[in-house]
Amino acid sequence: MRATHAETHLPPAPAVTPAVSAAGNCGAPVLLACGNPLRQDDGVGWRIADAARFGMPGLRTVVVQQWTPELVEEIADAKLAIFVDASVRDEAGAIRVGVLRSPKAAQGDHTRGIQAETHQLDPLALLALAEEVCGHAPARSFLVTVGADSFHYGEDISARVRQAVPRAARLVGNLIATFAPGM
Amino acid sequence: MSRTIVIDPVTRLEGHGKITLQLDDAGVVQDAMFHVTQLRGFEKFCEGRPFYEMPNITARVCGICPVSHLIASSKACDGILAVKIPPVAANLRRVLNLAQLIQSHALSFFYLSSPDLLLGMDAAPEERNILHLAHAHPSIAADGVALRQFGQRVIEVMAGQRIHPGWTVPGGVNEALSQEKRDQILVMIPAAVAAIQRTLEWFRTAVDKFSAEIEVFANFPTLFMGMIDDRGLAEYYDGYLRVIDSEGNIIAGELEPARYAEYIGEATEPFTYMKFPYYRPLGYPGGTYRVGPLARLNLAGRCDTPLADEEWRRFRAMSPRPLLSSFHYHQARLIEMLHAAEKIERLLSDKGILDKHVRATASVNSLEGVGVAEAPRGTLIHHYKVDENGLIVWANLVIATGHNNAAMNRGILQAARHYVHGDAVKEGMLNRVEAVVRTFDPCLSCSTHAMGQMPLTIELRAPDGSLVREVRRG
Repeated sequence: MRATHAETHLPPAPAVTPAVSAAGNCGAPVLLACGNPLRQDDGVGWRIADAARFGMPGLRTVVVQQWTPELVEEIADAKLAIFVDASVRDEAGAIRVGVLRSPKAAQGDHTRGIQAETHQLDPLALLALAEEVCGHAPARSFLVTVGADSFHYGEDISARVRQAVPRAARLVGNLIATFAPGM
Repeated sequence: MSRTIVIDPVTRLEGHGKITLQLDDAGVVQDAMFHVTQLRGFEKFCEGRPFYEMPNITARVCGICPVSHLIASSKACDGILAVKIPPVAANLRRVLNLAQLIQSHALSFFYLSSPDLLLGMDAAPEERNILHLAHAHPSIAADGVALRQFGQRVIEVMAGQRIHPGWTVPGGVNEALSQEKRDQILVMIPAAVAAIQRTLEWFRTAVDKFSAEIEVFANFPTLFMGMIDDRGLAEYYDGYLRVIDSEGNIIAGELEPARYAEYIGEATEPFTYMKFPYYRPLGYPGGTYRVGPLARLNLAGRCDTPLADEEWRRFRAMSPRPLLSSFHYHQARLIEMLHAAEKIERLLSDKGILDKHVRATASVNSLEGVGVAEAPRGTLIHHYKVDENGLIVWANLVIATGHNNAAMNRGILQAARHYVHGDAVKEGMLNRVEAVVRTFDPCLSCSTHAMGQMPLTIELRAPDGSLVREVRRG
C-alpha cells in the first residue's frame, strides 16, 4: 500500500503547479530513440532516428542513451510518441511494434507494476510520469524495437540489424502518416 | 558467533558500491565498511595524451557531473598554458558550473532521496522511486523534474549539449555567449527560483519529523573543507580553500588550492578502491573532513545572494556551531540550488557577459597544472604533469566524493549500530543504512551511471564464510 501524508506524518506538499515546461512542440509527433551507439547494435535506435529524419525533415527526434524523467517535457504535448530501441529478446533484425497504453488510458492504477529506476525509465513509466507531472501524455504511443545481435564495443552494427534500419524507418513513417497525418 | 552483513549493491547512488557490517556474538555491529567496487583508471590511460584533450577525456569520468570535470580539467590546463583567462570566460565557466550544481542537486534531492523523505524509509523498495513519488506528491516531483530540466537546459544552451559538452577549453571557452542564448536562460530563472523556494518551504516544515535520523545519520564531529572567495563567502569556481573544525573555528583560512598536496594526504584501505583523503596536519583518521553542500554552508560567511542568504541564516540558526549531522546535506543542497540560480541571474545580467574575447591562447608554458573547483559533491581537484610537448606524463584526480569517504564509513557504522541488532534484518533498517550514504550523494561512477533493476542482498555470514541468512531485494 502506498504511503500517504498521514502515514509518513509529514506536512502536505504544496499544491500542484505547472512547474514542468513542455518543449513547445504543439502536438507534433516525436520520435525518441534510445541506446548507446558505441555498443554496436544498441545504437540501432539512433540510426533509425537518422533515417526517419532523412525521410521526414520536419520530424522531431530525441536521441539519448537512456530515457530519463526530464524527457516528459518532450512527450507530454505530443499527439503521437514513437519510442525506438534495440531488443535483446527478438531475432537479430526482427522488427516489433507495440502499442503503449498509458496507465490512465488503460484506466488502471497509475503506477502498479511499472518499473522506474534511478536515472532511467521504460517508455510506459515515462508516459505515466508525464501524466502525473504534466497532467497529460500523448494520445497514442508506440514502441518500435529491432532485435539486436551484438552489444560489444564498436560503432558498427551487424548486417541483419543494419538491413532492418530502412524498414524500421518506413514503419515509423507509416505510423506518423496514419496517426499524425499532415505532419 | 560473529556474523557479517553485506548490502550489495547499495541502491540509488551514482555508481556501484556495497556495504559490509560486522556483527559480534551478541549481534551488535562492531564495524562497517563501504566498498567501492569499481575502478577508475583515467589517471593511467590518460598518460601520453595531449593535455588539451584532458577536459573532454576526463569529462567522461561521469555522466552526472561531466561539467565539473570539464571545469577542473580546463583550469588545470590553464595552468599548463600559464595564462590568465579572460574575465568573461571565467564567468561563463562559473555559470556552467552553477547550472551543473543545480541539475545534480535536483537529481540527488528529488530523484534519489525524496522517495525516502516523502514516501517513508519503510515504504516498499519497489515504490521508492520518482514515479511513485510523482503519484503521491505530484507537485514535488514536478518541481524536481523541472529543476533538473532547468540545469540541463542551461548547460545545453551554453555548451551545446546536456551531457558531456565540450565548450570549456584550455584558456577559456570556445564560443562567446550570444544575447539570444543569454535571454533564453534568464527567462527560465524565475520559475526555477520559485520551485526551489516551494521545496525549501516544505522541507523546513518537514525536517523536524526526521529528528531520529538526524541524530544518527553521520552525526559526529569532523573537519569541513570548501572553497571561499576573498571575502570568505561561498565560491564554486575559483578562490581559496578553508578548513574549519566541528566547533566552527577556522583552522586554515586561505589555503592555496594548487598546493593541495601539502595539506591533503590520501590514505588507502584494503577493502575499497576509493582513497581516504585527510587533512594532513592532523593525520589519518584524525584529519577526517567533509566536503560538499553541508561543509560549504558550514564554513562560508554566507552565500552572497539575497534569497539564499536568508535561507542560509535560517539553516545556520539551527545550531550555534556547524551542523554536524549529514542529514542536513539535503537542506544544504536546496539552499545551494537557490544560491546558484540567483548567481546565474546575476552573472548573466552583467553586460560584460556577452564580450567576445573568451579565450587566451598559448602553448605549453608550464610542465604542471592544478585545477580546483567546487563540484556538486565537493572540492574537485585535477592535477597534471606534461612533457615539453604537452603530453601527459602523470595525472591525479581527487574526486569530491573521495573527500567524504572516511566520514561516510563512520556514518554507516553509526547508523548501523543504531538500527541493526541481531538476526532480524528488516527492509527499513537496510534502507536507513543506505540513506546515510545517500545524504552524501556519492558519485562512484566511471563513464556510466546506468542502473538496471538492481537487486540488493543482505547476507549474514558465519566466521567461516558460510551463509547464515540472506535477505534479497529486487
